[in-house]
Amino acid sequence: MKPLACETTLALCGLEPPEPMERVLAALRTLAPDAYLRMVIDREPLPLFALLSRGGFEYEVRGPAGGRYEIDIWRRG
Amino acid sequence: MRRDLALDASPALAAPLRFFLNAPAFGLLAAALLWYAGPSAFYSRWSPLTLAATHVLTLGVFASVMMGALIQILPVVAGVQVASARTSATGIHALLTAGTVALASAFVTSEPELFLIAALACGAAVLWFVAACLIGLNGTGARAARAVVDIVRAIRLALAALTGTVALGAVLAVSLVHSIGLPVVGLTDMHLTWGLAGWIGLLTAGVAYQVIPMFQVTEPYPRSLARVFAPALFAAIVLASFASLSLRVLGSVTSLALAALPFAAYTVFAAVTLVLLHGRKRASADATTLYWRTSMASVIGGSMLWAASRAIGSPSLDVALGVLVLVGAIQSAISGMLYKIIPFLLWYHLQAALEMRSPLVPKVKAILPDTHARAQYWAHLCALALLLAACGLPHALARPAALAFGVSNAWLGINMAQALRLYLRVKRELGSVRASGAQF
Repeated sequence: MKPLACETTLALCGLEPPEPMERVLAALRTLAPDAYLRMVIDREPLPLFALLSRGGFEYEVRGPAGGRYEIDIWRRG
Repeated sequence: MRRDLALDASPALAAPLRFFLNAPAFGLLAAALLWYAGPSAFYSRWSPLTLAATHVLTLGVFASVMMGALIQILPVVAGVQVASARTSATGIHALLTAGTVALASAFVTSEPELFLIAALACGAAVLWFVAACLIGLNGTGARAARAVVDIVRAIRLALAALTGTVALGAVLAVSLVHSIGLPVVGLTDMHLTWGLAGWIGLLTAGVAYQVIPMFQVTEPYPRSLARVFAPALFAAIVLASFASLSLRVLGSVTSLALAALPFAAYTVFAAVTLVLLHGRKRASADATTLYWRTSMASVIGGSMLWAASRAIGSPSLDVALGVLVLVGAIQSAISGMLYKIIPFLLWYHLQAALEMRSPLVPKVKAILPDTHARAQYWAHLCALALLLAACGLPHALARPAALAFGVSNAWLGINMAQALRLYLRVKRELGSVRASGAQF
């Protein structure tokens, strides 16, 4: 179940791949179990989703709205 | 909403990598053929050793890298899985590599059986590849593919052009073995137009819609260009093919105008790409930026050279045109893309083996440093300049140009090997940590 608290929001638009993935994976190392991380990005990061599933994370994708995706990521319960 | 992309469905590292490793190996073989041929390679595009070197480049380097890239990029960009990626990659690579070696040997030795073996092996490789891609495009990835419709349309047309190219090549191979009275010159022009402007050009343009804005951090291509370019170019190639077989019916002016259409289309595409690169949001140009600029400048230069050769009726410029298109435009774009794809691929497969980000996994930019890539770019540019100069001064410059071309390809191979060595070292370290039971 998705936690209620957003711990961090990472604005990753305009970065050269795979820097957004590198930043998200680094931030997830310290993500608290009762919080989620939000990433805002200008393309759908398909390769990241496989890494999240493998790493024990859940995620929710919204968008594109205004050319941007919002992706919330939290630890699987 | 949640999008699923099963990790096991991603192609194994070896699937695309085996195709990429062909690039420096066959690049070196092409350089060796040019060295062996000496000045004669630059006299005519019909010289057997020139044809051998040309096909080693187009099949062994370009087709190989583009097939590997498509196997890798389709899942990442469009969520499309190439059918049975591991098995398909192994089989297609083996057939294409064997077919390339057979075809080069056939041109060198004029052995009829080798032409037939090459036609069968390359034909089977291409049919397998096209079928595997089409199954993927028509299957599970359809939902994600809708978001990248322009790219997918260009890829479909490129696959159609590849099928036409190899079919024409097979007909030409058979006509070399059995004299069946075909218009060989017209069919050869069609074969190279479908191969270079169709298969390679369409796929490069389709991929550029995605990778130029993404990796070069530019504005996106104008929507109207991205939507219209691939179908318009495909139609232009059909008309140019008609012109190459119907000179007597159409007259020289109409034929020339139709043959000019693909060059005109690519000039527009290259000009737009250069404008986008000029307005990129990052100040420093990396090796891939330099490669893209060289590629697009070569496209425009090649179009001007083609127009000049037709205006002054000088077929002697054909070899220079070939150098500009093959080494300047195509190999530049392919090398630039390799410098983005290979580090990402190695990083991704290291990361995918873990459950969490590990400090042991280097950053992508450390896997293949840009300083190494830039140094190799200058070697490539030097080789391109010497190859072009050798078209005018073959006796003085044919072998220095072949040597420079060999150095450039060997350097690319060294850069790739160093990245691969780093990958294997980190993989071993991760294995040791896991075996010791420690935390990553």
